Amino acid sequence: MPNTSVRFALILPIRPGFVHLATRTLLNDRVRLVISIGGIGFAILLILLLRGIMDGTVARSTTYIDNVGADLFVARAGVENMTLAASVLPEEVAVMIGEAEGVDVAAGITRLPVIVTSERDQLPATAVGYGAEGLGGPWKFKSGRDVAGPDEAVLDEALAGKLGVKLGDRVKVAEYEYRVVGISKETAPIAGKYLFVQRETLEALLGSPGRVNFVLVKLEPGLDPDEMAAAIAGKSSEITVLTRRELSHNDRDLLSKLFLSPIQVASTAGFLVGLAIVGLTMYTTTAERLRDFGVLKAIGAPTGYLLQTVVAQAVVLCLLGYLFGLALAFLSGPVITQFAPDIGVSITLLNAGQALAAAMTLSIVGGVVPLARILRVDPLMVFKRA
Amino acid sequence: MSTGPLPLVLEGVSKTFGEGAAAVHAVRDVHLEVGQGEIVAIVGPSGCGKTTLLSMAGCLLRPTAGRIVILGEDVTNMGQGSLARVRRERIGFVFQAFNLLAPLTVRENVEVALNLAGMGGREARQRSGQLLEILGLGHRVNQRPPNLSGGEQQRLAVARALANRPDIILADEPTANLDSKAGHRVMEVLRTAVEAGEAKGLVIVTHDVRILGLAHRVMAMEDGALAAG
Repeated sequence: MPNTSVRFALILPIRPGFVHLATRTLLNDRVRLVISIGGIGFAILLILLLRGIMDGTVARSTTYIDNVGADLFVARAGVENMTLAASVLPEEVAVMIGEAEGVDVAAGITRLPVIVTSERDQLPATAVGYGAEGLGGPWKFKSGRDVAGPDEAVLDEALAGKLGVKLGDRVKVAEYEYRVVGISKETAPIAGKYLFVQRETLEALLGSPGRVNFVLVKLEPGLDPDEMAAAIAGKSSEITVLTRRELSHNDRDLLSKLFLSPIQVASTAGFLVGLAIVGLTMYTTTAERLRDFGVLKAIGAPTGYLLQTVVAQAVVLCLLGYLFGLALAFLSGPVITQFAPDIGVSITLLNAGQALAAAMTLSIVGGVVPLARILRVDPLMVFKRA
Repeated sequence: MSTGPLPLVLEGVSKTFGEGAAAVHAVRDVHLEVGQGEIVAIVGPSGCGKTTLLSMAGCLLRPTAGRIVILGEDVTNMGQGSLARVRRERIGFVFQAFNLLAPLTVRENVEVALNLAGMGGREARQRSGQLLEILGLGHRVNQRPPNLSGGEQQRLAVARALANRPDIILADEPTANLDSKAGHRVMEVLRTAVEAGEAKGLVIVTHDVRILGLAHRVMAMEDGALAAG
């Protein structure tokens, strides 16, 4: 049964100097302070990076939807996603939509998970077949040009790097061979980096000519995508029309669910590591300075003052560790994406705030660890001949 | 010595540890009155109960029987919170082992006592600076205790004890770890503080016969009982 004074200790009047005492105590052993800040910093880094990688990677997974230049996406009725969706439409749907008022361009695309083979390696990719309408192909090039013939392909830069191919080299998809004429940028979602080819080539590969998976729609300037989506959807009961925002949101939501469990497990591990570090640091710091706490008790320090001092130590320690971890996270993000272009790192204000909340929880819980020892300190120890 | 409420009164104070056949009577029926401005020295062999008596007078240990009154206030049956208040506001401690806080500077060691009594900022800084100057530590304010000599550390402990102008100072073997010159200087400092009214009374527990001459009264303790020396 805890002492009543313990329960009310943290709401007792604040006396001056306890934060200073806490800081001085921490600074007394600078090596341990640095190790502790480093440990907490890395725990915070782990929490921030895992979350940031999940958010960044999920955001990157919709790069095609977000950047291809379409305002609306038309799929088979009932299909709400592009990722992992089974949507097949007759090519005539694109013609029908293209004739609608307010539509600038309507272009059918074919998407297919494929294995790309080079002389060096074999890798999975997402092949996108697009037509001459000027919509559906790569939007940013690192080098080279767009495809102009049936045996040409544009490869994502990360995919090309891993396959060890450069402009002019040849890659194979099933029995079809393509010459690489362009290297695209920002086309590397983690599950299926893009390979762009002509639509007819991919239709032939699929063995289903005259069929597309989605129709991309570019509207005339100034039109409201939601209103146009409703208008186009009214033309056929066989189609679903989604705005870019809706489809992007749906795909991110789907991918978040797929990623979430392992990320949460790893985040929890990071949190527990941080907690252990704070708890251990606070425990050893306190254990080494038990005599000081005995002296403070002897000269009249109330329990609340001692508790405030310990909690202040934990908070100061955790804040320093948090700032260190935050700085590391911001610095390591660009380094990670440099070496792994298919991984995005997004340190958002929300994530940083959640990590700070985690750090605060760590500090409070970690600060409580040594309390029992402090409360048991006998002030009579001051009479022992040290 | 001036008149007024006595800084410390012990009335029939006893302390027994354990029960029955295993009971140890550490202090037996002690009566002691410390007058205003008075310095009382208590001498006696090791294990005779001096420190136990000092612990009770310092509100760190409850007596088994008897009454303890500090400047007219009966502290015998006070709760832990009130006893902590009495210790920080009315009692100054000087220990043989100094018991300074190593992470803090000299100035901060004094300020911590002031902080506990609710004084902070410039006021605490002025008071600590003034005390340290008087005690000859004005040039050492930013040093850490481990960097001080034994005599300096004990004078710092005295400064901390005097910080809140206590009713009574309780000193446990304050010169035991010091050479004769440093010990003499510490005692001079304590005596001057009492004479200047910075503390109303002083009780010293000691083995050191060299400092007995500075006391107004010497009491001898043996087997837990106190008698005039």
